[in-house]
Amino acid sequence: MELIPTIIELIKIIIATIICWLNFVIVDSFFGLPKTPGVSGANVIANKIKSKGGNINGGYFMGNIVCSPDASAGTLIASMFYYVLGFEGGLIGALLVYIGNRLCNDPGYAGTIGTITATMLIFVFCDLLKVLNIEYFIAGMVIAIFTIQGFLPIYASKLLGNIAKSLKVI
Amino acid sequence: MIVLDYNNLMFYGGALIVSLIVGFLLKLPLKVNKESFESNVFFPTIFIVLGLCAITKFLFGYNIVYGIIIGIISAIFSKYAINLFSGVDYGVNSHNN
Repeated sequence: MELIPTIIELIKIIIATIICWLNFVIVDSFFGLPKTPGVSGANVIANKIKSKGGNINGGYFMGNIVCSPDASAGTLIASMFYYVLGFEGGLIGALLVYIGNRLCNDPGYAGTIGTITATMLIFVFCDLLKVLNIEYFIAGMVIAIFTIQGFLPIYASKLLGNIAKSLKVI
Repeated sequence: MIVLDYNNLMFYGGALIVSLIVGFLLKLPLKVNKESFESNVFFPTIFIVLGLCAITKFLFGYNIVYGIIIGIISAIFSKYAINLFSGVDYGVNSHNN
């Protein structure tokens, strides 16, 4: 009998994962992460992925989100600050992500705007519609980053390259 | 849950409007350039205003005077952000080579 609530929780975590994934991939692609590496570390990661058979633009994307706090870190920080401080916590998160971005040689558009869009999405799904809890977004974002960086990175880079092409970024 | 009462709106809205006016007076460019490290009137001023307003509200409370002070500070910070955090066009150079 305790199986059904567990399954419902898992489904909610998966829904939160999909929302977080779409948020950070679309915002990061729109602000040109797959176009150029911001620092040499991102270039090294992209070349390694390309030498293993992946896509160079997807590699730039993955290198950039490793080397500076872009919309991926922004979504995670927005979830955590929303959990602790509410909607205004998300605004504080955007300020901190901006400072982190600039320290990592990044203009800061992707990170701050990703944080604000994530805060708005969490507000809509948790406070307005009340269908998800904020904890699900924290777990969901960790899983979303794992699908990009940890789980099959070569195929992830090809997928990210195709998304960038379809959004006409590259 | 955010509370959209009159004082809250005056605090955030007043700070935003003051920051945009002061940014305009400090001759920040109006055009938004996604690739540039230079600040403009809207970015990053808006995000600094919202973040500082939220921090001030949690620490000291909120009223319109705090809002105006935050607006002025944010515009000045935005103007001199390039001196605090200098950016290098690494990607552009490596792309050309």
